[in-house]
Amino acid sequence: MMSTILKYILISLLFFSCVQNAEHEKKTINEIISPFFKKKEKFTILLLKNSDCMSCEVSVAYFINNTNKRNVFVVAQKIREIEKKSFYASRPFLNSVEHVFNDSLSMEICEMINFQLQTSIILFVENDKIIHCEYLREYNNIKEKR
Amino acid sequence: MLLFSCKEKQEHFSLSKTKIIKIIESEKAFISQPNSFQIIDSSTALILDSRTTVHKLNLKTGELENFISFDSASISSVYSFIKSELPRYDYLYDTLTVNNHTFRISGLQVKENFAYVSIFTNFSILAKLDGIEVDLFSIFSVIQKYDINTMSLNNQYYVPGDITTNLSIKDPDEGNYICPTLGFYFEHPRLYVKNNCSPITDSSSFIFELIIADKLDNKRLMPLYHNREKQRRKDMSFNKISFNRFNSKLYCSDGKDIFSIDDKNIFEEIVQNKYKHLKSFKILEDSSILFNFGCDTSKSTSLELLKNGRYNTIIPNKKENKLIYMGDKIYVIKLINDEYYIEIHSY
Repeated sequence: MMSTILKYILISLLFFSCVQNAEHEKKTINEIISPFFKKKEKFTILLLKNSDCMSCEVSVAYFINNTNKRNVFVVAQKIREIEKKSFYASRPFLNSVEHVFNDSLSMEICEMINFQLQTSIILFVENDKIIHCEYLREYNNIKEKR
Repeated sequence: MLLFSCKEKQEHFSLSKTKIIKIIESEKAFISQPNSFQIIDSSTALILDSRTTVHKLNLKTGELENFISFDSASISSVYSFIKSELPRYDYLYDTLTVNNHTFRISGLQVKENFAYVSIFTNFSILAKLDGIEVDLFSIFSVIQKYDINTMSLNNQYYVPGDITTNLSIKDPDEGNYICPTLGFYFEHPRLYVKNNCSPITDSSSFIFELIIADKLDNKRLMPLYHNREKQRRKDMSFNKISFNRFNSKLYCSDGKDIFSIDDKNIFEEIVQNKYKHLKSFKILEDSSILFNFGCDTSKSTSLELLKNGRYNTIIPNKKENKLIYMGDKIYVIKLINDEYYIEIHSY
């Protein structure tokens, strides 16, 4: 009796996890970001690690300063209201790019590309497809690849 | 100091929570990313925060105020100091603007009546490569000495940024550059500074032993011998070093292991996970080691005890734990429901 119940629970769990995965797989990058950013054919997403290593921060500033800011969406991690003023002061580039502070959006994108937000990540998107993603500290490599 | 219970074979480490104090923040002084903690006396601590500010925290009332705040004016004074110390460089800018420099306070130490902070900064300078002038975004490092009572700057020391050793690659195009000040330890008159070097291949990490007089003088260069089987990050912000004096020997942690500075022997290999490294440690009287580890950029931390080859978690790795300091007591900075607290434990 017990084993039948266990089997039933396991099968149900498997079924629901499959359904969830299937639903998850259906979501495209545009669908994930559409509640936060306007749709574009070609754009770049910067998953910003708020507290990053110095070379990573240099890479972020360098990247933003040398790219078309209109096509960059920044997803920063959630911070407290009291910290925002100083956060913007230390990252003046944020004033010129579309950005949100949203941990779950950041996590959802990380899951999609199978990355962990160890340092800031850059994603290049074209026609709703992620054509390349990389930790931004490797930005020089990205430039060569592109 | 009796740290363990007396029962035979029991490896129980007891922490008693003595008090938890809410940190009173204001629009001017608030905690963002606590990075380092130092005790001044029983009622005052300094917190290095966001790598740009050192706060003074009243451990009795929780009141927080800014002690050292690095803004464009203060970084300009560092820039002027570096220019005076290194006149041979051709600096691109007379004054600094937001876009031509980056900086952070990379370390903090309190010694007697002074607070020492290391500033780690990038400025643009001109250099010549194959006869062509290029704009180099170069890294410089200084240590600033502040009087704790008056909060005034007492002295500045330039930390050497380039070295040549027999380990260097003999390639003039590559040169040797150092990622400075990944941590320092001051014991008058000696200052130990950990630097990573590249493109030196045989050993990428060094400790400078410098004698503090009016200026720093490069007296000794000590390569750190890594366990090569473990992956180590050569990035300037990783593998931060921390120091601990125990039984007249000075020990330092370099990413994964704890070394004795004098004989460079590995005292303990601690962190096995290649993505994590030691943040700080304290050797206890029975030679067991209290330590916390994690990724430099991770927001959470834990406190572990390594005793007789066994690891015990003392404070679990929770998101709310932001910083742990091991002094005569253990101090844990926590973020609970958007409010910062300091929890003080006795051993």
